[in-house]
Amino acid sequence: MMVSIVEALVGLFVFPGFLFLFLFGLLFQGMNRKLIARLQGRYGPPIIQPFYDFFKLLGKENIVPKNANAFWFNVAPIIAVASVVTLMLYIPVGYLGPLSPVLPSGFGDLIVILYLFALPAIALIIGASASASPYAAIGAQRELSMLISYEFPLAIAIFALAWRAGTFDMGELFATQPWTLGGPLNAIGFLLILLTALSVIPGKVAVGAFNIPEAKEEIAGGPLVEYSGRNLALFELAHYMKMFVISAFIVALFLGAPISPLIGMSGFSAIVVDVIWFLFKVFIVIFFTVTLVAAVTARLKITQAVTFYWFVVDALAIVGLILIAADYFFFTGVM
Amino acid sequence: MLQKYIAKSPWVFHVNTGGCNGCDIEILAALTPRYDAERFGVKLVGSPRHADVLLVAGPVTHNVIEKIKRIYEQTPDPKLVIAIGACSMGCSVFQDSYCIDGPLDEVIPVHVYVPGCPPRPEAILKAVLMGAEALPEILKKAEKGELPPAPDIKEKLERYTKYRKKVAEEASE
Ligand code: SF4
Repeated sequence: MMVSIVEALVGLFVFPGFLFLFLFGLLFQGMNRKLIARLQGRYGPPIIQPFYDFFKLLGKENIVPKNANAFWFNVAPIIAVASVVTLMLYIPVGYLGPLSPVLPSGFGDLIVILYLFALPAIALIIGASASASPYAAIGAQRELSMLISYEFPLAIAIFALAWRAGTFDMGELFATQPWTLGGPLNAIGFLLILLTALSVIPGKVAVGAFNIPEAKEEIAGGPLVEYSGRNLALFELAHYMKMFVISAFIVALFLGAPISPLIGMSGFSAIVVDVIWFLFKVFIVIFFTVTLVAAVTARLKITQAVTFYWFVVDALAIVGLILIAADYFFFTGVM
Repeated sequence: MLQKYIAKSPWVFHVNTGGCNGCDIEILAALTPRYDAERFGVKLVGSPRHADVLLVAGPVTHNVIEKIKRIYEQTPDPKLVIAIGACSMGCSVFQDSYCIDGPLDEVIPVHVYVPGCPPRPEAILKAVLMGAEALPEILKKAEKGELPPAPDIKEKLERYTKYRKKVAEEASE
């Protein structure tokens, strides 16, 4: 019992919890900013720029507007960070083994993860609504519209996966990699589902075309308009952590295959190699879904974004689902 | 202790207080890819709550005096105010006009002045970086009371309120 508490604390605060996320969330955001700058032909900020921003914001005055609801205004950023850190505990970081199973029975199930993923956005909405600013109210509405538009395709993608694998357990899914289960139709179906999941990432992270809620040129930073100092630092941190976690989640679901069996390693060094391999895959996913999108697209209107998710991405997901089901019932047969 | 990080990531907010817009264009030019202010961590933010540095251009007109005061107070401490252009330093061509309350340092405390009409983008960028670098020193001086006191603008604000009332009355007639 004692050991598991220590394990849980280490998991929550060091690896793969807060410290790990803090380091890699901010580092990946730094690389992201640098790469966007390079793609646009600029020199770009140093890679550790997000750390500077974070520490600078910690040292600033924390203003609570007079008309704001001070309690929710201050609690919302903490909810955002806490929910993202909790999410990370459900995601196998490249391997299944000691150190990773912090939760009592294997990994948590996908439905919990799905709900937790909505929580940072909801914290943002709560914070914005508590801050008594018309800009924040518009931002909160947009955030809500984005939430209902990208949650649905993500849910279809995840349920297709879970249904085919016959389990909601993240660890088992990570181990089976369900696109290897059936024939070519199954693989094509999973490719479509993967595309769906990937196109949800820019919406979740709100970059490029989907940077609608925070549009700083139109609505002055949207939900964050009244935030300053420590609270703003926490929200920014939660945002970068979310970028890392959603990419890590997609990688663990679809591209989770570890590398150590291939190169014949075992023991502790295998874990280290697998974690590095995992981080590399997360980086690739972030590059294609966040960096590229941010560098080459311009902001859509909120109606266009909702239409895109509801008609294009949903169609992709449903076709993928049908292909997987067809493969299961007509070719592979009921197991 | 964390104040030294402001030099690494000065987030700027820019305000026009009634100038000819020439300075604003140069401020935005300083943020274009050609000068790439982001390599120093400089970022243009949309809300004074996020800002570390206020870039103020223009002589302060009657109508804007209350707003510039409010924006100054909305910016979280520690903050830096930079007066951009001849207008905000000494009203320039708008001097002695009937509608001017400026220059800027008679309205809010100013830490850095950038002369020019308009100043070059390089000058603005350098002012931001040097000012942010010197911010801990400025704060120390402010603590010791070595900086000039914040200007008293009560009279000006009263005049503003009276003027707004008159405008409202005229509109309702
Ligand atoms: S200083 Fe010159 S360019 Fe700048 S606002 Fe005044 S008149 Fe215009």
